[in-house]
Amino acid sequence: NTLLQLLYSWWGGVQMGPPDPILGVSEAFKKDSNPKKMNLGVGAYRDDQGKPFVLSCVRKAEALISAKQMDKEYLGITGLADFNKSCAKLALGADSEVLKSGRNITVQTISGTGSLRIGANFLSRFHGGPRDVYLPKPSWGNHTPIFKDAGMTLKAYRYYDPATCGFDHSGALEDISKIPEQSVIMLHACAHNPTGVDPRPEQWKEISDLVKKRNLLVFFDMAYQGFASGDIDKDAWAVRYFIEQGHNIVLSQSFAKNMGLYGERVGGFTVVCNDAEEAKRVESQLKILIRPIYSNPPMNGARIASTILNTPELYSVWLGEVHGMANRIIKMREQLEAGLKKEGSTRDWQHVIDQIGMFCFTGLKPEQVERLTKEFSVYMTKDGRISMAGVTSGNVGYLAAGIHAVTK
Amino acid sequence: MSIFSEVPQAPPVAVFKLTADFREDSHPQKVNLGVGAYRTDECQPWVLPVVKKVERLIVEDSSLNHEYLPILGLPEFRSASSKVALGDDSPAIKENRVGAVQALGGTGALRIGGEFLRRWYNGTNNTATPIYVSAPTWENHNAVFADAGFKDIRPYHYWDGAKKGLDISGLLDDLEKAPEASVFVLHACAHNPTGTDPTQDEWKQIAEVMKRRNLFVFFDSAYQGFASGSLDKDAWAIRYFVSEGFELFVAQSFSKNFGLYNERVGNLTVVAKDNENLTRILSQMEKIVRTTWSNPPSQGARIVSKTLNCPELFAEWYVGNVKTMADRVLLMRDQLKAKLQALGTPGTWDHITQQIGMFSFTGLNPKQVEYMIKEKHVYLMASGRINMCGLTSKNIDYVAQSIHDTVTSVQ
Repeated sequence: NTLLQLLYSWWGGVQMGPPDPILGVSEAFKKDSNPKKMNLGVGAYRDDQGKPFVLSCVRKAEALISAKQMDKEYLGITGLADFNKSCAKLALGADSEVLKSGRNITVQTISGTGSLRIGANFLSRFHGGPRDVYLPKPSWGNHTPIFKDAGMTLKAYRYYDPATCGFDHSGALEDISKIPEQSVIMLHACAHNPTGVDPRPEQWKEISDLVKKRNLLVFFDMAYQGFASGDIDKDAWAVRYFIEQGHNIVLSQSFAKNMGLYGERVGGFTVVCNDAEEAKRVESQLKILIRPIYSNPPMNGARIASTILNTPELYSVWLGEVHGMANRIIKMREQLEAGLKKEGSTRDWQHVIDQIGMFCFTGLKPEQVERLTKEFSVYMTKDGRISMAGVTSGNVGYLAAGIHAVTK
Repeated sequence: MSIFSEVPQAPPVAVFKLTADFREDSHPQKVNLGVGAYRTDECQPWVLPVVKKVERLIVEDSSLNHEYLPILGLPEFRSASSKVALGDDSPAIKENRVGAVQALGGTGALRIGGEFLRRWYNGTNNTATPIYVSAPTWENHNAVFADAGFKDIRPYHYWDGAKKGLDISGLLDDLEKAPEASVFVLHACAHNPTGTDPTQDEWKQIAEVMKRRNLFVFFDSAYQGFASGSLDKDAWAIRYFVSEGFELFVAQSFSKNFGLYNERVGNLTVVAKDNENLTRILSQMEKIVRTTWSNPPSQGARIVSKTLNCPELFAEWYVGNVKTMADRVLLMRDQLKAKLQALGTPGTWDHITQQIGMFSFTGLNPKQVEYMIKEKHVYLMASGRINMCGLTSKNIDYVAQSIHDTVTSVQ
């Protein structure tokens, strides 16, 4: 028996897991020795020198925090209260009726992923409607396994139109009109990942009306507030409009991109309830859900974010820096489109400029992507998505040449 | 009609409610012996001096940024943490069959380990595998494994209320009777809430049965260094089991021994049979992490990593700060026992100094606990658990007197 145990492992049946498609791109990039290589995989902002960018408002906030010499006592399960308040205010707007009536519960989460997972777990446990979550086609790759692991099932509604590289408005409305009542529908608040394609305001209004008619539960994923247009309020417009229209939404927020706090894991999860009493009940259940995952959230990033949001001088510095990041992305889009024209491409690249946020759905096919990677050391995900943040004035010409080469 | 109108109000988490009640109490002599966090003799939270030093180094290092960590966490943190648990010269580490997942505190490590076991242990997605937790145990153990999907969570005998010690025969009996492949959550040292650990001999007996009966070892190690003041001593059980050839998990927390409670620093150490198994295990751990938090927070891991990987900082942490905390707890144990004996408090109080770590299972019953809280304004858990760190030179007389009054007034 002992001999068998020496030879036998508990884990013989464990299969090798596939590499994560998005993070796997970075790993392959690291191994490449081509000096011209470009990492257009993961969505982390880079400055025009291709370097990670630590916002100055973050450094200032860190200095302020360091000087205060605070203790390291556990946060409550729902996290830093000052952060939660300002996080909700940022999304909903300072004059939101929801905030005034206290009918939201907002909890600190482990960035956007943690927020989505808490939300998925909460819906799985308490949502009386169908277990189906409707994602736009396509959506962020991690949405599907998050909801699956939480016990929900995934369905889709048309969203991206490959013919136009734009929004499939009629397709979306047609599909949404068929979604069974009380199902959950996921909407990307702005800067859709991976396509960069957002509905226009009048299109959002039609979606809202239809979703209301179908009595669907809206789950907004807002990972890029401020980062899309450069304007905090503009990027939150859809979220606020839906709330005004009477949707009691659930909302995930991330501060990974718009504050550059990626590794500090700063996020929020909000449930808009009927009233403050219901919000209290929901809060108590969120705590029960969170405690057996990680007990209480990490302080550092939330403290930084809270300091920025609640210190007027830092807040305005932040708005400027977010605007700056968004602007650089917009400029790179313009330069890429111009570069492709210059290369002599006869294809329509208007979508490069029309799409918004960190990502661009180029329209490249998997074989073309493979060529771009193999021959030009340009790393991106197979779906043709590129992170514009990885594009600089120094390499945009090279990128245009490469894309032209594989598409002509 | 709200979709959430049927959501019931959940009961508050007991240990946090206790602190909330304590805060609202205006009695001048109130004492909080509830939540498990270290306090100085001035009853203040203590940020370890080495932590302050390292944090300053981090803030001043302009080459550091806030980029994502890898899914499994900061590599230098993971390897250094596993070394702390298994020993610098661990054969298992030399044989390249030890891996780790940086996690959010000990809780996060337990949860990731639990999720993995539910998916990949004893078949695939076998939610029926029995999970055994000690009676009593940390109150969150049950929920962690239940929410990870396990349907059958059972107690194993542990605390003997009559003898105020370990019920070793009950424990061994449960091991003998457990279905093969059952998972046992073992507290590596400083058992929470009883403070009662098996002796080395008893650990050997436990290991023998577990090996023979094919049971899985999942260590919860939240107090390494904090219990006896010695990292090696506090990790003896873990290292013994590894030397006996077990594949096992260790959920490590750096909340207490680094005082980094709110930065959520933990590590799930995986000891596998060989590197090939380890590689597949870690690949599946990545998938679990990716849908839970994507990648872990960097601040706390950086602090611990810098400290463990630099000899001078390591010494300052270990010989300086950890020893300070462990010594203060030992002193409070000695003094509390001495004062109760001097008062002639009925009962025996040897268990106070025999027990180890942050907690002591006083033996007070629920009625007595209620009396302590309501009449004496001394806050402790309904189980009779007290946090020794809540005792100070200024309040220990009052607490001893309160215990005395309670035990003599309430049966």
